[in-house]
Amino acid sequence: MHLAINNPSRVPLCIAPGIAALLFVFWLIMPACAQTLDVTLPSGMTASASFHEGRSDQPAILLLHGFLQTSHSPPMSSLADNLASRGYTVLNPTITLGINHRTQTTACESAHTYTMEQEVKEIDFWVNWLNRKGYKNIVLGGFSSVGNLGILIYTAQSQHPAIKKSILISLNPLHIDHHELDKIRDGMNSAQQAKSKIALYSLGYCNRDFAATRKSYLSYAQYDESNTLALLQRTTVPTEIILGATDTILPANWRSKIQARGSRIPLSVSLIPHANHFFDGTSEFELSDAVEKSLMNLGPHKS
Amino acid sequence: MTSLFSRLGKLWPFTIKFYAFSFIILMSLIFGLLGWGMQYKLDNIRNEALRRNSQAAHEEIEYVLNHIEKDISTRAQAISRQDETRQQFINRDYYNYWRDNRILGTGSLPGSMLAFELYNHNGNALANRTLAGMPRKISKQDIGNYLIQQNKKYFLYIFYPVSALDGNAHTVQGYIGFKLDFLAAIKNEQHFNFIKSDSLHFKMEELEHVPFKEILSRTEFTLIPNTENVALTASIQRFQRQMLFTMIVLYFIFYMMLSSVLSAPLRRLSLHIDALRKGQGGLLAKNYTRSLPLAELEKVRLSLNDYQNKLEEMHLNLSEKNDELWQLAHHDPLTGIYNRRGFEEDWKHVLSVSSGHRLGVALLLFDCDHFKAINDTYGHPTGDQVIRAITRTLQDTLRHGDRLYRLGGDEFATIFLDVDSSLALQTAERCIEAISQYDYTSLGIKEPIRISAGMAYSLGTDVEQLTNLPKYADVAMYHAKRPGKSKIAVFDRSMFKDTDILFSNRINNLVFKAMDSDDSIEMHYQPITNLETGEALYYEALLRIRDGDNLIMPSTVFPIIHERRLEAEFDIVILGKIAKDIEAGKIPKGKGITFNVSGPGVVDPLVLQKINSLAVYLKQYTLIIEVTETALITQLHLASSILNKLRQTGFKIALDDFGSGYSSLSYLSNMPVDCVKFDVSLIRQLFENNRQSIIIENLAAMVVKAGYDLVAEGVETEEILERIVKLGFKRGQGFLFGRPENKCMESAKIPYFSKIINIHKL
Repeated sequence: MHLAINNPSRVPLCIAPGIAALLFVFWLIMPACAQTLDVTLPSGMTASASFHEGRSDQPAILLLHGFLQTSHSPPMSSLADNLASRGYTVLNPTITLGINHRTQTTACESAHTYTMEQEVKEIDFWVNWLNRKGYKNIVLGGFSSVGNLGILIYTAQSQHPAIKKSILISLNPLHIDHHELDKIRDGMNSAQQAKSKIALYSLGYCNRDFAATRKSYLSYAQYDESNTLALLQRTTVPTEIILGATDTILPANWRSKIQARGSRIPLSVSLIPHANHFFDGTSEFELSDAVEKSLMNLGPHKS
Repeated sequence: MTSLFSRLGKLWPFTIKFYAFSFIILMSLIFGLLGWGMQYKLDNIRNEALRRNSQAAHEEIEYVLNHIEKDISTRAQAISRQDETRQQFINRDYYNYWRDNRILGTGSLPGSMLAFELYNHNGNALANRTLAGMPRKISKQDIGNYLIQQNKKYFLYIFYPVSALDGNAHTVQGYIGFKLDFLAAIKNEQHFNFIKSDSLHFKMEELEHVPFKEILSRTEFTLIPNTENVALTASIQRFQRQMLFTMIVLYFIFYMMLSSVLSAPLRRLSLHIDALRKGQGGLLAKNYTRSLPLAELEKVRLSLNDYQNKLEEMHLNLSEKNDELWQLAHHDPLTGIYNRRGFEEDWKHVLSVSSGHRLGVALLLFDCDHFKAINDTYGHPTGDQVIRAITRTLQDTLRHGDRLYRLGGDEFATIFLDVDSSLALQTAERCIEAISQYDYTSLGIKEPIRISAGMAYSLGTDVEQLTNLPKYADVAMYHAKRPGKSKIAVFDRSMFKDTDILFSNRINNLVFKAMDSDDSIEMHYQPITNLETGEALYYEALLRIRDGDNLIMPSTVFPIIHERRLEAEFDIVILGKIAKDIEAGKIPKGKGITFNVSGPGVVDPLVLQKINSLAVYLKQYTLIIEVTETALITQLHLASSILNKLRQTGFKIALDDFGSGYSSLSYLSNMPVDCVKFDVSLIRQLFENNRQSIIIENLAAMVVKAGYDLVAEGVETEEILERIVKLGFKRGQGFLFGRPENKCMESAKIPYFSKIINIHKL
């Protein structure tokens, strides 16, 4: 204490270089900081997304989160940050799932009225949004079942010229109770019921607690393992599938089935050792490296 | 206060019990004060604890209310931030599902939550039908938290604004509404440490909206008793009870010990001393305390017993002395029989046992005739022997068990209880006979010794007569003593006529006054007539006492004199009066004067001296001393000696009332008399045609032949006069010749003497 009082004049001289260094670091980080977008969809709902504008010589990446997740959910949130920090333009939207300005993970028990078709339309919206922004080389990145299904459906249905590739991380088919599905399909005669009734279903990781209308349920439930593999056959863009070596969610022999299914267009499957379904821990960076490697394979593009 | 002290003063000195009670009361007061102080402290502690508990309870309920509000607020905020919540404001198609399953059905809300609703920014409920009475529409006044009492239940309504996401915090998208069972919320929220949760209620009207901030001020509850405080209070109260019980026991023991060890022994000691004082106690036994012995009391006991021993010893001595004294006081030292005191006590006892009962009581008085003369003649030692002899004789004669009393001198008495009068009379007669039969010559006494007896008899039922029995016996004795009477007299009321004078104070006073001054004494003179000439030869001086216009006769005076034993003194007074009459010339010169001298007077030196002083008149008067036969017999030798000397001096001696007593010729021959006066009873007997009249005639003849001048008393008629003249009487005295007069009168002129004189002349 006595020393500090006796030498007050030395403090400004010491901290001045520190402050300058901090300002420099902020300047370096600034490009990596994403901005949050609230965009009104054609449906009238507001959808939010995080957007990072990268270097123009790099493809823009549209990342799609997993089932009921948001743009902030791992591993896509960290992947977005990593890619952004590496100079890629990254758009990481949150699919509304029929919820205005959805920012939070939606619970299985929430009333699900949204359909896979509506999700695909939102993907289309964001692709077009990027395209309108001038991005001509767009890579679609999806996670897990629904995120990847949306990309597969979208790329199977349309051939947007800006989409150059899709990277499907932890691709797995939705877990579906076929017995249940069959019963639901049999009961679909009543259109009124299908429209309004909320019932609990087993879908994905929602085990008998997925509250949804029949329409909503069936829009997702139709994409079982075989339909997923069928979509892989019908995709129109080069596709790279990145799987965790220790992903226990994946169906048995899933990699073989993917590879056995084959495709008209290039499709590769890469496996990240020691990674689980969510690429936790250090697998997060390996995932980023794998994605970046996949992006680099596209070669330089002029957006 | 003064009366209290005066009452205490009456109790002074206090008893041990009083001190014990006082001590117990004092100790009770002290312990009571201590107990009160302890209770006061305890109350303070309890009140302080209560105050703290109350404060803690308020803090507790305040904390709970704040926590509920904060919890609900937090939950409301959390819900309001949910995408799904906001989505309901946009699309309420699945609001009921969302409310029921995503809000209420999740189990994340507290159990006290009764209802949940969303309201749009206009306050309209999103639900078509709200739950559990939630309002369909809320106003701005409802925003916030408020409490309502409905059907005695408290419901907390919370309406929380949900801000819009347009960046303007003041833009409200809608409202979240909660309805809670407030008491359940409170109870679920907190396990109360200071409040009885069941007692919680709020001071409010039905359906009154109470803002949440006011709830605390309206909260009412009952405090949970502070367990430590309760335990402490119970412990202290238990301690106080135990102390009280202990004190009561100790007081009881103290009192019992004091009473048993000290008070009771002292009381017994006191009773023992009281008994000693009444003469009923003995030695105090060692175990008299009947409890633990006390050294001090034992010392007192020993001292008391020592004292008692000495007292008893002294008492024994005193008793012996008393007995001796009683013996002395109640017995006659000469004879050993009971004395007058003994008689009086026994008489009181007889009165007490016989009064009112049908018991015959006889009182006998014995009196030795002429005992004084015996004493004077033979001396007191002989007299004492006579008394002892009479005593022995009477005791031998009386029945076994009869008590004999010596009332004084020669007077004896005995009391017969439960007898009839005839038996008593027979006993008296036997006594008199026994006395008369006793051989007194062994005592050197030649004269016969007689006793007289007066008896009075009464039944116990006649209490008045019984009470007066001694007096009546005395009267009877008086009668028995009278000359010519039987030696035994049984009282009857006619005797009062003669004896009243004995008991008349007025007569007594006159007699004694006459003895002091002879002014009231008048000597009346009755002529004694020469039966040969009819002239008064000499005059007998007879006593009268003047009482105003009346004269008191000798028959009234002499019983008093005799009863009082004043014969000698009275003789002197009479002799003096006669001397004055002689000097006054009331008696014709050349005549004789005859005067009476009593039995005691004959042997009395002063009387003799007085008689001898009259000797100067012998030249002019013939002085004749009249003595009674009875008086001479009792002191025959002495009297004879004295009378002889008087005769030698020139006096003549006349034997008065001859025939009323012994009338013993033997005695008469030994008596130095010149003249014999036949009693009027003998004179009257002359006119009876019986053997007695013949004896009297012959007796008169013998007396005359023996050379005595024979005087007849009671000559009241000429017939008597003629008869006595024929019998040889030379002198006569009686109303025929003249009554006693204040002056010497000539004898009455009787025709008989004229005839006699004429015969002699012829």
